Amino acid sequence: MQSAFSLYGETFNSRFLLGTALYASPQLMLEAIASSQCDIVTLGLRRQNPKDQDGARIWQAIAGTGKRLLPNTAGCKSAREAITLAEMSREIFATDWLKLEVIGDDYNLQPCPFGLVEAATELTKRGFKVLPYCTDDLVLCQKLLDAGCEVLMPWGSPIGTGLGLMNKYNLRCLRERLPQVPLIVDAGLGAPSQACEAMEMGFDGVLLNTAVAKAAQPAHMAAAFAAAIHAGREAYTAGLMVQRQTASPSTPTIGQPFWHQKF
Amino acid sequence: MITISVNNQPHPIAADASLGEFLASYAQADSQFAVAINGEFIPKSRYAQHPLRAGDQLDIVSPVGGG
Repeated sequence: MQSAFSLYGETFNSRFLLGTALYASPQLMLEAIASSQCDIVTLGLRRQNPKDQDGARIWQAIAGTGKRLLPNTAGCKSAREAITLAEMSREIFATDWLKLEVIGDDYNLQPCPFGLVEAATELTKRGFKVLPYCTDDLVLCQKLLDAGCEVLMPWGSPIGTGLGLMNKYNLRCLRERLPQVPLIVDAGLGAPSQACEAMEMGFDGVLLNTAVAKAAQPAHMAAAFAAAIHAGREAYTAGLMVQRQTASPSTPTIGQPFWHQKF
Repeated sequence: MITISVNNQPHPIAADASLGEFLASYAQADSQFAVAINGEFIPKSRYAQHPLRAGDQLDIVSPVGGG
């Protein structure tokens, strides 16, 4: 059971967004989606012969889940490419929702801030609901909001690394400076504990793929992430204690036995 | 005959073929795909009247799993 949240005016019960790539089989993907209890799944577009039946089978499996589709522009390296792929995506999937990706560097697949802002500005004008996969740079995030994005998806760390929350200062800064903006940590999470930590920091959701798809048992791992995301959200809303450097006893010191005042 | 590029592969077609005529033989009508020519998205509504020219670069994409 997750607490509901809203993206672009639509309410979702699950704060877990799951990718549909890298699974060993469509069946394992479907089992993972089911056990994640997610409401939103990501997917992509690639050059294929439309007669390719393998591609058609995967698409039919994803469509059959009834989940909100969040198509991506993965692999695009310029605003122009991303805008074109977004239009192709909207025609195929019949949705304005878009996970905007504009990659700036092949080594770490780091999002290009300039391409993102350029593409987001145009796509929001064209009626897309843009969820940009971005870095944790505060100024970039502010510019993306100016461009019309209502949700931001900063990375935890580079795609597929499993390194977790690489720059917690930047992530905390985003949360504090953009308190009203839905923020979803996207990419780089490798363990449920990392997702839990993101949620404890006040992030609104988590999007991941590899950590589930490459688990020995994807459905089991999806359930673990769902539980961690729920726990992290509960902890955030409950209010975490303030950390301190010095010890403080939890058991009352008044009435401590074996201690005697020296007279 | 002229040659166009389809997903980076050379493809000979009739010199006066439209995009719609080409796709009628290349793709199944009920399959999910979208087309861009020379980097520009071509909506389905324009397939029939969109002429193909020698050297056109077609990108034909279909759904795949994605993160």
